[in-house]
Amino acid sequence: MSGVQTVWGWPIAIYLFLAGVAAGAYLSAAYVWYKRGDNPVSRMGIFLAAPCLGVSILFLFFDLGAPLRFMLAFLKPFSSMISVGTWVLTIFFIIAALQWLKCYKAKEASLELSNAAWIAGIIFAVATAVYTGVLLGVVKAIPFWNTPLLPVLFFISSVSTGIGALLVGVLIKGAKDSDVGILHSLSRIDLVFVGLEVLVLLFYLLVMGQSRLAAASSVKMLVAGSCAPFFWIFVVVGLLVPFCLEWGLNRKQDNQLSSMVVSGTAAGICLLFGGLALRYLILAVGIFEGFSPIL
Amino acid sequence: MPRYGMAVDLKKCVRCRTCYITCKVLHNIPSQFDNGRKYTRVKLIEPEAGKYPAVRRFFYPSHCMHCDDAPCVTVCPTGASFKDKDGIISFDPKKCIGCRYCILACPYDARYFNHETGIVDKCDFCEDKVRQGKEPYCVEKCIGHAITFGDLDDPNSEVSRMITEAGAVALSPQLGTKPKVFYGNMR
Repeated sequence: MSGVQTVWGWPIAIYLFLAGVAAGAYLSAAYVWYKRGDNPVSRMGIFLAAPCLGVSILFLFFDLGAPLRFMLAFLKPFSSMISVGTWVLTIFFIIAALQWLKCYKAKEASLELSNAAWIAGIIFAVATAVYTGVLLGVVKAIPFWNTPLLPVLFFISSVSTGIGALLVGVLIKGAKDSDVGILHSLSRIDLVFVGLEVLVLLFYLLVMGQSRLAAASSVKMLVAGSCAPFFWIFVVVGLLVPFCLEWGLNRKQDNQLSSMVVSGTAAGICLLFGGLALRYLILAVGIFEGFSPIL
Repeated sequence: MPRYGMAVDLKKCVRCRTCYITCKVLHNIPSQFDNGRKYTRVKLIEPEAGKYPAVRRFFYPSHCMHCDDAPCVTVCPTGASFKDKDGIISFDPKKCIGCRYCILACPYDARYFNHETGIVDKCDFCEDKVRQGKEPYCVEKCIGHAITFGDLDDPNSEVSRMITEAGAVALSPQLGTKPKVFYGNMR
């Protein structure tokens, strides 16, 4: 892929992706907890959120040129989107890690998590997912990013990848017949989110394609330029395949565990691939508006 | 307090590249590349315009525009990039964490990431010299006296007269960052 934006590359794509997975897994866990209380699916979400976020923060940390000075980013909380994000991610990590610890200690015993912790966690999970889009959205020099559609797109994608991670986690660890019902409703929710993601992505590309700024070149590079092969693989593998798999799951009335294991795991893996590909592609085609030397 | 700015008279520019070399040598900037981008504070830009046979090639030095509404300052999480009282967009290397957000935010591509130090670098109008009452290196060494430097708030300064009398203009003012580097006789 030639001509891609190289200031922020793969490490940042992985950082944005994993922060989104953590937020999405947490929100899904909260939903399952609200519906069913303490159960293996909800626990899997708690079990995934904090480590995903931790790894995501490590990617950010090691991508810094002078990582040992990272504490400076805490000192001016509202000076920049990065400092806002540093605080949001840190607070979300603390909440998720505390619940992770409780969950870890509880083992077979029943798990008690306070509503206050859940509510704070949900707020910061949403903030984290939205933040990953806003971080790019405020960059005026790159018109393709500079739109409120990007936080919307990243939020939707975060929820979807979170559900994907939950499906993969639960099904690989070994789901019981009693989990199938809630996994079905998660995959039904994800069907809506993948559908929304397709619509928002389509709208985003149409709007940006009409732009007189460099954003139109970004769209061209994405759908027909050097990034096009990767982009269309993403559209098929990351969006259409999981959509069809989840559609298939929801058409069946039998609620069989075996079909859930096959389709659910496959859909989850595709969703995760799609989430990472989406973030990398959007970073890669961030073409600068540039300044005109000729008046 | 002055509000420093710069003006380049492209009619007087003989394209000798002294500004670029001087800056690189006297600021000890290593000769390396970051993804095809040279480690340099002053870039020499040579765009072409028009269609054959009416083609023109432009040449001008470009560096930090010291914007009054500098987007690099807005995005800096640590205050390493800041606007000084005299309008210079200054940079504190001790506070830079190397996140490179400022490189993305700058529409004038004025910053580069130094892999040796792990931090960002840019033109600072040679602020140490300027505060001693001297001129920046590129101004001092320019063989055609094409670059002028001074107080934009003083209507009689050479740089102000370049704008009011010779019609020097900022590059892409529509970006809205209010640059303080101006170019005269562009055509």
